[in-house]
Amino acid sequence: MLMPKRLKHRKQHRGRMRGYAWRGAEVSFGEFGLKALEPAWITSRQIEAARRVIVRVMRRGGQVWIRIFPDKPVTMRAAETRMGSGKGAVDHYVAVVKPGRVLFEVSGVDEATAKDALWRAAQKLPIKTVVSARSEAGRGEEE
Amino acid sequence: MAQTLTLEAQSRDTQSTPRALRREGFVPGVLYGNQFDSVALQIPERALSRVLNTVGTTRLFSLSVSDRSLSETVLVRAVQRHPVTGSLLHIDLYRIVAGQAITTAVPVRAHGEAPATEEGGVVSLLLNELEIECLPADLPEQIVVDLSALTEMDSVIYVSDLSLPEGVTALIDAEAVVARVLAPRAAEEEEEAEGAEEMIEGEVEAQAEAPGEESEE
Repeated sequence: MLMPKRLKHRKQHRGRMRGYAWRGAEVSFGEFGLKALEPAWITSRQIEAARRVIVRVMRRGGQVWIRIFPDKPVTMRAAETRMGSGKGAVDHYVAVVKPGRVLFEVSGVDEATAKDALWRAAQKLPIKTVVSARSEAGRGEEE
Repeated sequence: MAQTLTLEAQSRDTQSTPRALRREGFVPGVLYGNQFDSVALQIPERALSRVLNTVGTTRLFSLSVSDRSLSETVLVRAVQRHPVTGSLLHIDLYRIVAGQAITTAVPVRAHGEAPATEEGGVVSLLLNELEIECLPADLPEQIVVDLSALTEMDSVIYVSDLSLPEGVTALIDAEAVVARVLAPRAAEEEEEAEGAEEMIEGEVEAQAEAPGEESEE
């Protein structure tokens, strides 16, 4: 699973997810991409599950790019503990995703397989997504 | 280079907000280039998207600014779109002077089948756009890469191998890789990689728990 190698600060504030993903919002490496339509915290487990299903559907052919990285630590309190006594321990890592962000990209397979792989990957994620194709020379993405 | 398309635009009052303009069905834009005072424009969205779908960023077309009685040959330099809806937000148009070289990015399109794919290789197109310099009349719509040269695993097509049209120069390193054949990933390799990832995870957790490394604010 993806996680940071080392952290400057062990625990973070939760933050807000306002606005759109103005960066990382275009299919840049592959031919097709999976684009988020809602804001969410995507956990490293969800990213890994989606990646595995893409690789499986593409039968290890083609190429896959993961465009998000779970760099935000999420803490949880131990079960049945009383309130107080400071912040809980780091439990897992998430990627903060805003609407418009391209999550995965694929190339090297035919269009039907690429769309099927990305659709199946979307079933592993907690948000609405759309499959979009690379925009060529300013013409805009196809959905 | 056919220049049959004409786009009608009006100059824009820079006091009005772009958001208000978009609500009225216009796209804010700007025309600049070649020792020319830039002009803020507003272009009807429907007409613009129709022209954009035809010309992209690699074909010249005519722009007429009705209230300034201005008519120029232009090239689309930059297009800003909404990250979710994909609607047009802003456009940069570059004024072209015939006989003066221009620099632009042209899409790279793969053509043909790579013989190495029959052995299970995967063709990876690493360069999707090529920065070129040429005269406006020589501007190609796309650069075609012939994949039939990729006969073996790990064979590579460099920028220097591309057959560029006459009068067109590539502005990036001639040794830059355009396309490459990658060997397919074996099942065992993937399992090994997964095992290694789990090990890394254990190490990171140990590091995170180690005291003294991080200081909270």
